Amino acid sequence: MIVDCHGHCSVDGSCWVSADDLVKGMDLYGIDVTCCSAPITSGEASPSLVRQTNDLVLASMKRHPDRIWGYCFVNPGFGEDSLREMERCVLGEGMIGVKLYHQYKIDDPVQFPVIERCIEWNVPILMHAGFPSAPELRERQPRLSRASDFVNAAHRYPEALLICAHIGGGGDWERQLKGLREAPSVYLDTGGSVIDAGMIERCVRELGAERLLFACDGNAARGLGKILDAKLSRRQREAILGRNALKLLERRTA
Amino acid sequence: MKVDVDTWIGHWPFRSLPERRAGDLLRRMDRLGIDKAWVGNLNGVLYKDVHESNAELAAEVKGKRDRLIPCALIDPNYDGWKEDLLRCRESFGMPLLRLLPDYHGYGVESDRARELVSYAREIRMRTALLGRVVDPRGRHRLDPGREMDADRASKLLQAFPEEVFLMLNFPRIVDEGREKPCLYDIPRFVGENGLRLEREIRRWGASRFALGTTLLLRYGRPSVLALERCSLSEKEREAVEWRNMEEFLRGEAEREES
Repeated sequence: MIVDCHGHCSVDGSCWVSADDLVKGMDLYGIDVTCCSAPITSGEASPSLVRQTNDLVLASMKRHPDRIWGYCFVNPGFGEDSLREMERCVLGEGMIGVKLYHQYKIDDPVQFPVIERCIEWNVPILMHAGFPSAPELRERQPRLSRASDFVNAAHRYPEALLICAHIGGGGDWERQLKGLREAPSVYLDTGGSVIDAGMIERCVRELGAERLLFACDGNAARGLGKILDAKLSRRQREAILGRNALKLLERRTA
Repeated sequence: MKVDVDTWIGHWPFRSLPERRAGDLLRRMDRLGIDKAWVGNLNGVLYKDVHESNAELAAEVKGKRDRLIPCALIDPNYDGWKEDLLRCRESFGMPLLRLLPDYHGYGVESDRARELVSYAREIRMRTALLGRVVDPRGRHRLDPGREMDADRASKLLQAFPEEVFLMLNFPRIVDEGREKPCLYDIPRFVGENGLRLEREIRRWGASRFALGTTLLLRYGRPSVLALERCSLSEKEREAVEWRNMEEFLRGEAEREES
């Protein structure tokens, strides 16, 4: 079973790709399930807007229940509102975990209640991440989580199921990998448009195949192509493509 | 038959590549079912005397010319570049020149670039422009490479209205409305959940695209996979897989005859 742990969609295509187009692409590339969210990536992610976008993901899940699993996106800056939205989406509606964007870094204290709630339920947090090399790009996302931020969060919460998003998201992925060696509880998704030769083999070498989760982040050809091209054993490939994600999701207790 | 119009061998100065030799490229091509490839030498990106990389490339593909067709790199600011380019054409049998303006210190819209393309035309070589070599978001602090500015590239294209350029690793079509449309390779047309390439082919026509992977800098399967997944007629598929590139070169042969 192939599980894409990092995707985005909305039921009507009003933000991100439409659920139907997403599934069309999944069919073409043989992807069984995509775990989707609809994060707000610019402007204020207010509670009402967050709720609206999560509703678009929930509707996608209802339209394609066997193919689209949802993450609940929240802006932790809204404290209790965010926790209530997580309860609504994860406990009430069956979303598989929480998606966080660059509103705050993963080790910011404002995240702690969100992380603690996810620990209580044993569900994953998919955290937008990266280290753009150019300073001007870093300035555009000043709160973008880098590996050292994951190290801090993982040391404080070693039991948290943190996923560092898209190693190929556009940045110095080698630097991210070296940093993540110090956070052995953190998973890494393989998504992003960067398909540098040797990237996946290097991920396996630095972190181990059991910490890697297959992801496309909207680009099925690149997402799948780099896993198929990498020099991996069959066991490693199967683990990355789906088994690791399924094992992670089985840990849910709530 | 599959022909890859966009491959590299050699050393990339800013990152350790797992595979660098012509034999590595051939093995990768075999795994992907690619019969022939147009190949450049990354060593020429930062050599002071770029032409040394052409000689290295010619030696590297010797005995493999049935599958690997070498492409020239030239720094038009360096003494003797015309003689070097002529040598690429006549001694090394390189039919195609790849321009790397950011690395070789000239603007793509500059008189230097025009002089280089003019001379390539004069000695019956075709020219390829590169949208970029690597993703600038992850570049090394000393790497001068940037995304090629479409407006600046257009100025060069406009200076040679009769020339069909090969456009490698561009993110989109940048010569809309041109009387002689350029040929684009596909590695950056494969997004949008794998649905984009077919949409682009439907929009612009199969005659505008050619298979390109950017091996050995990157994994090659994404381009091959995306093309395989497109719903195309046999004729359209054949066009993208090899025929367009053949016709691109035939254009050169026709120019030569006339």
